[in-house]
Amino acid sequence: MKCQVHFLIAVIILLKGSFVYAQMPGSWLLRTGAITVSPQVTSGCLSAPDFSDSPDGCTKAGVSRNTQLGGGITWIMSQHLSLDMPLALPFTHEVSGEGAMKGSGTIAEIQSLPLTLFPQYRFFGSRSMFRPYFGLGVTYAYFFNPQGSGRLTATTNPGGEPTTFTVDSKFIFSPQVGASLRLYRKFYADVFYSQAKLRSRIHMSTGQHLDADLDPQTFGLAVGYAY
Amino acid sequence: MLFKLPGITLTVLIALTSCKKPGNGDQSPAVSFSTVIAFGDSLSDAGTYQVGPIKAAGGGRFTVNGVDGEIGTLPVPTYTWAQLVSAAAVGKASCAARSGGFGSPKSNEPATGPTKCRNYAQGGSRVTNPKGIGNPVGVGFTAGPLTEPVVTQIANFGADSGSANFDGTELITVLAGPNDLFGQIETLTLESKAAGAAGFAKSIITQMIAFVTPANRAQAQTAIGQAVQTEAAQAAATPISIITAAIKAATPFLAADAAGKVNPAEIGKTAEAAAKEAGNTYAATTGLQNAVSAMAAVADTLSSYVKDMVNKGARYVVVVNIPDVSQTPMAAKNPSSQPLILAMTTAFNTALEKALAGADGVLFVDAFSENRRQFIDPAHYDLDNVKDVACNLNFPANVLDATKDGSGSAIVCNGNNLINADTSRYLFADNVHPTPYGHKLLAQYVTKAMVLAGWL
Repeated sequence: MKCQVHFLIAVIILLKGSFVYAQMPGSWLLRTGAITVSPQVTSGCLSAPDFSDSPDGCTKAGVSRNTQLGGGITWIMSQHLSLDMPLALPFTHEVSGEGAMKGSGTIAEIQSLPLTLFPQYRFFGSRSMFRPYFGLGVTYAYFFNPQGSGRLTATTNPGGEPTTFTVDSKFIFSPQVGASLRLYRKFYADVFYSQAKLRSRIHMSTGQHLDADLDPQTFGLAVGYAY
Repeated sequence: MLFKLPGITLTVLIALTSCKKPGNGDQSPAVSFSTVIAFGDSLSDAGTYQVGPIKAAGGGRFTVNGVDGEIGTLPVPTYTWAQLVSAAAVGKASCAARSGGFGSPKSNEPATGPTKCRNYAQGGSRVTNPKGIGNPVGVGFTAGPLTEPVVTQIANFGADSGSANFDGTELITVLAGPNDLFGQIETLTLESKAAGAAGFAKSIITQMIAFVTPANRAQAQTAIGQAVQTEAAQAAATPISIITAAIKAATPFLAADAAGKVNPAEIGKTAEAAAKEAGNTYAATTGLQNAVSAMAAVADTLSSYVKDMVNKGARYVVVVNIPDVSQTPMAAKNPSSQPLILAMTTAFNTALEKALAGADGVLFVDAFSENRRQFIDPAHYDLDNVKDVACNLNFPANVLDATKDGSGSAIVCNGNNLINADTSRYLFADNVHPTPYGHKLLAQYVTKAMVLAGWL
């Protein structure tokens, strides 16, 4: 299948003559670094027909963590309030067989792009060297480009057409904690952690489905510049 | 990304590459098999008997026939598990390497080029004995099922390929033993009847001797015994005729007060009870032991064939054990037989697994346990019915119900002679064979084992 390339203009910022200090109200912070998304999976059982030769009596799924080039942009609204949007390249997760399929290795891949807008509260003053913060974001967990495998087909539709699948994308809330540390002039370091509750459903072309709590933990580490 | 500093104009452009439709991913198997070879019986048979009257009746495989469609579509098309495993491994369902039987001469399917057929399994086949189910003659029989045993099927492959050796790129599937089990049941039934007949005769003699004066008992016993034996050997012998012969032989030796006491009906009733007890006792003791031992021996023999293939170069041999025959509709019709059938099945499977434990190139698949899980929780397997049969096995709907007692076979079952119900999720097509959906479930269990072994 040919993939289509979509261009998303995420942000266009026009700022002129900015000589503000870090994290002053109205300032913008841009950062780049790495973001890791680590699903904490609690898998349900694959719907019938399924195998049952395991202690938990069904097929389950695991989803791997992934780290990508990322960063984000933050708008300092006031002395303590800000809006933050982490940005990253799409995350690629390997889906492994668990439960009755434990030992099968990677049976599928899926990409995710969690688009989140975090309203944040920042502690201490605007000129503080160290500013911890917390936020509560709204995330659109977007899943795309699912890829099956021969192993998935063999165990769900042996000899037949390749088994494909989709994963429901969802809006979720994402609590966040983090901190920024001024490094040199307008350069700063930023680290954050968020954990969300995400329950989604995998739909397979065979008519089967599997519900799973993915509950992603997200870690971000970046170096930024304040405008 | 495009940054313009200072100024500051900043444009962040993120290119996201996405696919709107789900993709297939890498569908290639872990092992590139050159071909798939099947040895076994009706459970694997790809259509050996799809000739002559069987074909004319819309049959050919021991399941619901004639369900067309690509593999994976609904309703589940007619393929056996071995064919589906072949399709999963090399992208093509296997086809029968031999055809014939039921009045048609045996012929070898074309065995050249990419269309060569390598499914040697035949319905009714046993492991070594050429007298399979429905074949009273053995080698060369074509009036009914060919039933070439597994040992011959392996030799057939050698003949087709020009060598008894394997090059190590073949996937070989083996499932055999159920017909040896049925054969042992036949043997046990015959022996139990013989034990019952002996018990019947013994009871008559004992009862008649009681009416004879003590001085004549030795002589009378000989006379009555001979009379009973002679009459029982007659083709038209009946319990009444045997009792009558016994009374006639005993008459010269009867005590004076025996007149009027000899009651044929009472003697018959007591003798039949004794016969039943003798038959049951034999079945539960000596017969059971013999049958169980025989099945274990068959498993050992089958394992030796498998090991021999490995020694001749085979590197990928899937050996599937016997499903739980004790819970088939056939066994359920006679609940008292179920413990015996279970014991025989378990003996075979245990011996087979033990003999193949640790064998290089052999993947043992425990279909028995999977089958039992299907009986315990049918809904987990999307099965609607695991007790009844999907096919109408009664004459005239099923032309193979020769005895007109519902003993027809799925080999002539198709969409025109199913029972009047939605049978798409039935487990059984006939009294022992699965529906296409049952075959798919078994195939998935085998392919799953292959995935876990790194073979797919």
